[in-house]
Formats: sequence, C-alpha cells, structure tokens
Amino acid sequence: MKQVPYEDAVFINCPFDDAYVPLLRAIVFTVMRCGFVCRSAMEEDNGLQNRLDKIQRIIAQCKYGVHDISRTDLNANDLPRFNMPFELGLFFGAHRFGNLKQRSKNALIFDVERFRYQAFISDLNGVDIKEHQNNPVIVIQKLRNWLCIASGQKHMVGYNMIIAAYKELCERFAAILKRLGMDNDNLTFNDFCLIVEEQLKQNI
Amino acid sequence: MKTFEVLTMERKTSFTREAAREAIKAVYAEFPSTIKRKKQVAKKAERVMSSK
Repeated sequence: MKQVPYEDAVFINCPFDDAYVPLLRAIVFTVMRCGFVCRSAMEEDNGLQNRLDKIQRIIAQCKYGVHDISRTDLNANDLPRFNMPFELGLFFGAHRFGNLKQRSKNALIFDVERFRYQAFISDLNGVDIKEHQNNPVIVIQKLRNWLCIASGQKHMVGYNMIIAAYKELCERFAAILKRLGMDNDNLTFNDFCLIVEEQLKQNI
Repeated sequence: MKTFEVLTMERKTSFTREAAREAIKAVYAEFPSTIKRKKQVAKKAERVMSSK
C-alpha cells in the first residue's frame, strides 16, 4: 500500500460519538480541502491488531495532529473517556522525545471553551488551546488557519470557500448516500473520507 | 511551494471509489455547485476580456 508522506498526514484524535459527527466531518473536510490526508485509529479494523500499537504507528506517520479534549462527560458507566487526552500525551511524547522527524510534529488542540481545560487537565497550562463552541464553522476557520501557518503554505484556500463547499456537500449528502445505498448510521470514517476525496476531485 | 491537489489514500470502504464518483457526479448534475459555476463564469469572463 502506498504510504502517505509524513508531511501530508494529519492524525485525527477526536470523539467518534454521534453528537460529535458534525464537527468530525467538518474537520475531515477541511483537512482534505487544504491538501492533507486524514489518519485515524478508525481507518483500520482488525481484531488481531493491538489497538495501542496501531495508534502509535499512525501517530509516528503523521506530522500534524488535531486533538479534541472536549469530551469530559461521564459515559453510561459514570466514567469519563481518557482516550483523547492519552493520545494527545503520546503526540506530545513523540514531539519531545522522538527523533528529528518526530520533533517536527505540530498539533492543534480543541476544547469547547478556551480555558475550560484548566479545570480538568492543568498540565496543559500555557498551551494554546482553541475553542470551537461545538460549532463546525468555527472548527473550519481555526483548523484552516492553523494548517496554513503550521505548514507554511502561502496559497491555501480561504476558510470562507471551505465553509461554502462544505455546506454544499452537506446539502447533497443525503442524496449521495441514497445513491450509494448507505445511510448515516452505517457510514464509516473511511466511507466519509472516500466521499470527500471524490467530491473534491470533481468540484475543485 | 506546495500547490493544492486532492491527496488520496487506499482505504477499506463499504463501496468502491467508482461508485462514490458516480453517485457524486449524478447528484451534482442534479443540484449543480454554485461555487463551481461562479468559477466557470469568472474564467469565461477572463478569456473574453483577454481576447479583446
């Protein structure tokens, strides 16, 4: 399989629950529209594979990372989910202790509100956390601007164009799924990525 | 300088790339992109202006 170049790969470390889907899709669309590839633990599903090995391997293959630590709510078992902060820690570790290539890593960290994280993960004090207010438009703006600065690209498409194109796709998404015999409930991360890839190829 | 291109990755999906391409093509034919249309009009105007 062709390997995605390290400099083009963005690790997506975000919640995968239904409520987060609008934000996750906005993130995937923006990353791809800016000329990068989305990588995620969800891209592979092999029961024989150790999950942590897989995550570490994918993180090592990505220069960039989008991390959302906003899911602090308790789950059905009255326990919080630690996956996102843990994977953010792995990213920090690779950046701090890795080789030259790993030390070039760059990350965008999202929370709902800018300084809320201080109440639950004070180790991040001094780190620039971006707030998204659970709003896909804000996600697109902040993600595009960060990718532009982090990658040093001078001619990246503006966020208003990305928002307009994403809205167009959203308006047509149900019809596309219908033609594919799919629905939102059984659409995987890979399925959505493929639709975005093809949509961008046809409409840029 | 890096110019924009859609980077693709081989992924295990529930449908083929060709099926996705055809579905998107059909839907966008039915409901055309206003963004693409605006770009086409602007390009045409540029061609007309430069030929005068």
